[in-house]
Amino acid sequence: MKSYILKRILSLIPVLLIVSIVVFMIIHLTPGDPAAVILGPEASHEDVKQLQEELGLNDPVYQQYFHWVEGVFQGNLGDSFFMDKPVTEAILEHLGPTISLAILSQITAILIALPLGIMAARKRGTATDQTFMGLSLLGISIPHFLFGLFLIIILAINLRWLPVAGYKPLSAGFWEHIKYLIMPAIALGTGQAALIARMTRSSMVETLNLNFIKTARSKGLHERKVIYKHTLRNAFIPILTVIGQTFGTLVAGAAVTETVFNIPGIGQLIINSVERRDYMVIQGTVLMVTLTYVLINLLVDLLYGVIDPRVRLKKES
Amino acid sequence: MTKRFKKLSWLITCLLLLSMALIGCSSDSDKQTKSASGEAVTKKGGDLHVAIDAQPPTLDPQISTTTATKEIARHIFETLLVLNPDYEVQPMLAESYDVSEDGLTYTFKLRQGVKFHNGKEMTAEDVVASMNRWLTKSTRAANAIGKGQFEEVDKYTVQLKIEKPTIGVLDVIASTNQFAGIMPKEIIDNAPKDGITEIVGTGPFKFVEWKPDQYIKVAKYDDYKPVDAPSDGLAGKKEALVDNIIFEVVTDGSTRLGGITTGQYQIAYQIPSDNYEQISSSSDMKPILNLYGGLSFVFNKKQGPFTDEKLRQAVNTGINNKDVLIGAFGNKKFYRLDNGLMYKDQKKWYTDAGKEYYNQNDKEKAKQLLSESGYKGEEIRILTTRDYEYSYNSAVVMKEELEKIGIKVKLDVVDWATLTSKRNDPAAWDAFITGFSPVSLPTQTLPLDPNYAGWPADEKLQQFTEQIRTAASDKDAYAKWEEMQEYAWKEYVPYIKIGDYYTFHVYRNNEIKGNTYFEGMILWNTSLTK
Repeated sequence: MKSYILKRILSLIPVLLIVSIVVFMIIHLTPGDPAAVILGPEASHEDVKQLQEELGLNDPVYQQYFHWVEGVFQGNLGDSFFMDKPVTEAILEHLGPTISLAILSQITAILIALPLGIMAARKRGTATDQTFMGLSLLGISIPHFLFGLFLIIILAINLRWLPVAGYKPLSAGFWEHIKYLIMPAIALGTGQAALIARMTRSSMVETLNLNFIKTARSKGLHERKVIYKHTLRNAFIPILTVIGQTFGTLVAGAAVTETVFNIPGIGQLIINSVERRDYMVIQGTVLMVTLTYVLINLLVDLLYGVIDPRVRLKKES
Repeated sequence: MTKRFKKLSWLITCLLLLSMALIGCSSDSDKQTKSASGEAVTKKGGDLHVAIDAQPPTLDPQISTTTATKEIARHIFETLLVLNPDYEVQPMLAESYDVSEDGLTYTFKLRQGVKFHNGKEMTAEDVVASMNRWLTKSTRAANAIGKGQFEEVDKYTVQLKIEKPTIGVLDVIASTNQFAGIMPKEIIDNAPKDGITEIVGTGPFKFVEWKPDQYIKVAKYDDYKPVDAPSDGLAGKKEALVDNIIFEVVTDGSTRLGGITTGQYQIAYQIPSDNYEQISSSSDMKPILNLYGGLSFVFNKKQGPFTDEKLRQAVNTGINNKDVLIGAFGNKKFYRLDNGLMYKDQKKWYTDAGKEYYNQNDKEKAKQLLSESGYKGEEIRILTTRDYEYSYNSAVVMKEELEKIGIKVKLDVVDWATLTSKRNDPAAWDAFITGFSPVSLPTQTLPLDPNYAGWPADEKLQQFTEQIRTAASDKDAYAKWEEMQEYAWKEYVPYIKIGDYYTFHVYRNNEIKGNTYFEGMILWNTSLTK
C-alpha cells in the first residue's frame, strides 16, 4: 500500500513538469504582456517598453522559465505583477471561496443525486425513472451560469431572499458566509448532481441484477437493507469516482459561475490573470490546480479500499 | 407510491404559491418604504457600496492610464490644479499660481497645513518629488512640458522651469487621466518600478484595504483640509460625508445590474446599454450618461496599403458613420455624430473645422478616389476585440462599408491584451478600432502623435503641433488647431473619428444624494439618505 502511494506521488513529477512547460509556453507565446495592461490602453509604446525591461520581461523565454522553476523548487512561485504579493499568498486567498463553494456544491449534488439515482434504479423502466433521468439530462445540458442567472432573477431580484452576488469569508459569520454561496452552489450542484445521478442509477441497476442481491431478497431481508446496505455499497465505486472527479473540477474553480456570482475564487483568479497577462499567477495557479486534481484522484483511489474490501485484498495479494 | 407523489406535487404547488405571494409582498413593501420615507433625509456616515467593472492594475495615478485607477485614485490623491466642469483650471493643493512674463517659470504657492494620510504635512519637497516623478512617467506630460523640472523655492513654494514657452502647461497639470497626484517624498523615493505600494495622499478619503478581485475600501479622512471655495466639478470644497466607500470589483455586467436593482450597491459602473430603458423607467434608479470618448478607425501609416493617402481619403469619403455608430451602440442616446477631434464639451478647443469631409457616405466619390489610389485589391486587416463589444460590432459594420466601395477586408479578432501588443507591430495590421478619451490639449491627441500606433509621421502635421505648442496666445493656438483639424479631415486623414460615444452608470436616487460626475464619478459631498 505504501509503495503504491509513493509510486503515485512520484508519477506526479513528470505530470507537473509537462504541465509547467506547456503552460509557460502557451502564455509566453500569446501576444500581450503585463506592462501594457498595467499602464493602460492609452499608454505610449515607449513607456510600455521601458516597464517591460524593468519587469524583466525582455529576457529570453527559456531563461525566464528556468528562473521560475528554480524558484518553484525553493517553494517560491514568484510574485504577482498586479496584486503586489507572492503568488502563493494570492492563491491561498482565492482558495478559501473556491473550497467553500466546492464543498457546498458537492453536498447539494450528492443530496439531489443519490436519492434520485437510487429511486430511478428501483423503479427502472417506469415513468418515475424516465422523469428523473430526463431531468438529469436537462441538468447536464443547461449551462451552470445560465441556471445561475435564473436563480438570481428569482431568488435575489424578485424575492430578495439572497444577495445577488459577492462573497463574505467565514469570519464574517456562518450565515453571512453561506448566504452568498447558496445560489452558486445550487447552480453548480445541480449540474454535478445530474452526472452523479446517472452514474448511481446505472451502477445500481447493474448491481441489483447480481445473484447476491437475489439471495439477500430471498432470505427475506428488508428491501431498505437490500438497497442501502448491499446494493448501494457494492455499486458505490463508480459513483465515488464520479464524485471525486466532479469535486476535482470544482476545486479547479468554476470560472464562469464564479464570475456571474462575483466570487473571488480560483476560477476567477485564472480568468483575470489571463486577461491581465499576470504570468506568475497563471503558472502558479495551473500548477496548484493540477496538483490538487491529481491528489484528489489519488485519495479517491485509496477510498476504494475503504469502501470495498475486495479492492484492498486484491492490492495486497 | 402514488400517494407519495400526490404529497410531493402538493408540496411543490404550495411552494410555488408561497413564492408568488412573496414576490407580491416584496414589491408591496418597497412601495411602502418609498411612501413612508417621503423626502430624503441626509444620514451622516455609513458605507457607500460602488460596483466597478474592472479591478485597477494599480492605485498609482501617475503611472496608469486605466479608467479604474483614475476613478478610485481621485478620491485619495489630489493635484496642484484641477478642472471645473467647463474645463477651466482651478487651484487645489496650490493656493495660487503665477506665470512669468517670458512664459518660462511657473510659480505655485502651496496651501499650508494640508496633511497627508500618514499625518505628515505636505510641503514643497513632496510636491517637487511627486511632480518630477510624474514628468518621467507620463509621456503626455513630458510632451506638453518638455524638459521642465520642478524646484523648491521655500517650504511652501515650488517653481516649474521650462526651456521654451508652451501653451497648456496648467491644463496638463490639472488633467484627470494619469494625473499628477501629490504623494509624500519618502514613498516616491522607495517606489518600485510598477507603481507605489503605499497609498498615501491628501484627499478626503484615505486608503484602507485592497482585497484583490473583491474590493478596495477607502475611509473618510478626518484631518482633511478642504479648499475654501464652493464645490464645482473637481474644484472647490470637498467633504467626505460617508464613513467608507467600498469599491466592489464586479466584472459581469448583468451581476452589476442585479446588484444595483436590489440595492446591494448604491452605484454601479458601466451597465450594458440594452438596459438603459429599464433603468430610466425605474423610480429607484437614475442613469448617468457620460461621454466616454471618440470611436475611431486608426490607419497604419507606416506599412501596408493605408500608407496611401488617397486610399485613406476613399475610406473616409465612402463610409456611413451613423450606420457604424448604430451598429456599435444601438440606442441613439449612446452616440453623437460630431467631427470635433477635441470634444464639443471642451469649449476652449472644440472646432468643427473640416466637417464637410465627415460622414459623407458618398460611395461613388469613394470609388473614384479608390481608383486613383495605389490599391491593388489587397486584403485589409482590421484589428478588433470582443472584449469591448462596441469595438467588434463597429468593425463588422466598417467591413461591410469598405466592401461596398470595393476594398477587401478581413477582421482579426483578438483579446484586448493581444490587441494592445499587436498594434505596436506595423507589420501585423492595417487598421484598428478603439475609443479615445478626452484630453486636455489638442497636442495630446494620441492618434495624432507620431509615436503612437498608426504612426502619423507627417511633416505638416508635426509643424502644426509645434505651432500650437509654441503659440503666443491661446487664440493663436486655437486658430492653428482649426487649421490642423481641417488638414486632418481633408488631406492627411490619419484616422477617422466615427463619432462620440457614451456609456452609462447607475445610482440609486432615493438612497444617495450629492454625487456628481465630471470625467468620472465624484463621491465626495455624497451622502446616504437611507
